[in-house]
Amino acid sequence: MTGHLTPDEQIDSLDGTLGPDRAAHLDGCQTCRDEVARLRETVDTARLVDVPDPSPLFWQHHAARISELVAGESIQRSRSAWTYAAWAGSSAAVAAAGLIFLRTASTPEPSSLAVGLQARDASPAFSEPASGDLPDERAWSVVEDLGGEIDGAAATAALTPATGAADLALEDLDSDEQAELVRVLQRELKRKTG
Amino acid sequence: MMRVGAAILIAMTFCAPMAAQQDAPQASERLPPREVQRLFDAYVLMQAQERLGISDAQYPQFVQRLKALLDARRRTVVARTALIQELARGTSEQAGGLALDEAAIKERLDRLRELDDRGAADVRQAYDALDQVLDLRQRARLRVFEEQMERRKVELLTRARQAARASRNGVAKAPP
Repeated sequence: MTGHLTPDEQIDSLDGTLGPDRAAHLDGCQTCRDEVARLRETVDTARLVDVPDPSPLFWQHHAARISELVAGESIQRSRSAWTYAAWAGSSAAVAAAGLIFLRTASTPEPSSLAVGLQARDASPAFSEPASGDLPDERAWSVVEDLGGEIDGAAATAALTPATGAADLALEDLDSDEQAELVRVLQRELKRKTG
Repeated sequence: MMRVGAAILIAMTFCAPMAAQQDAPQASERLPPREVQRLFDAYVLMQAQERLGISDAQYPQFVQRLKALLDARRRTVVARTALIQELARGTSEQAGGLALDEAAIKERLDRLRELDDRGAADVRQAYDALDQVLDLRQRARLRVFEEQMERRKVELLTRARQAARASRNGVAKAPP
């Protein structure tokens, strides 16, 4: 193989497990060396970054700004399949930021810290669909549309969703969305098992 | 092939309560969040098995330990979110609140610190257990995989929302 290192081989390089022939390529290839250096830098940075929780005041201002945006703009929602595919990554990353906002800005029923997941599942705020929750719906729309405005590579690098954000967002799906998600996941699982 | 058997085992392990359902639930049949979570976990596990190149010998322990990691992390995130929301409600002037006095705020801050410490310890312990069954390369790939999977999960959620919205509006669904 004489091409540039694949993503897996770049990881192997970080591990020090790259084969001799590929290591020789790496030694002579500035492009691959740059890629590996960037990967190492990203991994190192990810380990160091500790994102603090913003103050509650921040979220109030954030919510107000989102509302102003929604009120001031007519959001174009229709999107071609190509556009969706092209910007899926950045949408996902931006959506993650939005999920955190939605989660924190919502006002679920009081829950006890001690009971953890059991309390969450028993809470009406989590067990009932959030149908008719207009502010959430509008905020989601803004988040999804803003996703199309952000460069994909930048979003991937800078907007990795917080760990657990997707799990929390599961609670916010209404019944239609949940059914769609189950359908998607079942299709993925069947593809692997089939 | 062991891979197929393993995949079926994953589905059985994580999706047992859903096994009776051949198709996705209808919109009116909203599943408990935990059931959807199990399906999500099954998806993550299947992807991890493939991406990390888990061998047949590693597989049984890997399944259990990855599940333990996912559970530990989720427990902490859920509990932390609940606590942060308590603090937000109890100290928000706009919400007509300031319902928490200084002692109550301090007590919750102490709980938050304790939760962070305990959560970090639980996750570290789960990682240690996982690392015991993985070789060095697989350990590195697991860390990378987790980052990518968070993005992938959000993408799936977004896709589900868009498809549901399109369905409600009577237009074609988003591409799979």
